Amino acid sequence: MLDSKDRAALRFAEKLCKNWPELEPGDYNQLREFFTEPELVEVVILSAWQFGGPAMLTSWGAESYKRDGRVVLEALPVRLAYAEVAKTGAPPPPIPKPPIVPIEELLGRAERRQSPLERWLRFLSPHPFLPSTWAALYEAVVEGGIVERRIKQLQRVLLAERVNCDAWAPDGSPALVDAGIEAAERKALRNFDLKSFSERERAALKYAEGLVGSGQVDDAVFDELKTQFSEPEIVELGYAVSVQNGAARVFRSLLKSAE
Amino acid sequence: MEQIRARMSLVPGEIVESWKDPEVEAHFRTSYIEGTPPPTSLSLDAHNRDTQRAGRRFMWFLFHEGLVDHRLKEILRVQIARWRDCDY
Repeated sequence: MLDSKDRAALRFAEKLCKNWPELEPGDYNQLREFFTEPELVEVVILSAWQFGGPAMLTSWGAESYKRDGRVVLEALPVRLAYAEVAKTGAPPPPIPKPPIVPIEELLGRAERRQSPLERWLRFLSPHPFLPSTWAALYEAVVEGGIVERRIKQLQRVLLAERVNCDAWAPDGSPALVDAGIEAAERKALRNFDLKSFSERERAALKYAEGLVGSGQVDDAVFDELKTQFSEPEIVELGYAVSVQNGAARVFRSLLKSAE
Repeated sequence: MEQIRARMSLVPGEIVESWKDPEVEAHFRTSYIEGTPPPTSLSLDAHNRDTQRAGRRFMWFLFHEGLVDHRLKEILRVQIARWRDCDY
């Protein structure tokens, strides 16, 4: 049975999924009728992650390891970690709390690089742990990681173009300049004209286009991705797009509040 | 029903267990009980340990801790998957 609070959260999530370009300040105000500011951040970030994250797992063929929607351990090609101890029924150890980085430190890094954006982290800042855990993921996969940073920044610019929010990846920002991304690259990405990019860049951009556009990645696109990237690299590329996919759409709507 | 193609391999249990990482062990063992995320998802992103650590910390605490009722989070998770036409 849904109450008014549930329905308010679902209205926001439905608009994000079905009509995100029309998200506006009023959608956040209707959440504020039922949620405190930190709770609102949690509802919005959960919706934004759920918008893009599962598509990443689907793109990896995660569903292929299920039978009738569930995992059957005996049917898998390998033994999964800790499967044997799980069968004993012993209670699992608690999942440790994540380290919390002070918001001032996160904002300082964001101000220097503009990746992620300081303004986005300020939106998250009322929440007790989401600025830290969201930024830790973003920094691990977009700013850090094993794939060249330029490729992740190219994906970021493509995503910004696809959601019609240049401000998500601002021109001339240190992160883009350091990655050698200038107006010509941006124009090419806007038109999805990939001929000036390397084979490796093209493969990563086509993968990002699938996740950001329809949320579906064709076999041909994934096959091309696998010729250019190892599985550890593909995991990183998938997360790099997914952490931003819904977030950039939310960010675009927040800018309307400031207009 | 058409069988979906496996695109990425699962990291075998012996490799993951050799890390002797208590945080990874906690995530895996909890997954067998909770079912969400399934252990196969953990075995996919285990290809990249740093990414897995950051990703699973973000997702676990978003969905299982925090300020909003877990029941509402589950409703949102399931409903958004339907709207996004995503089985996962």
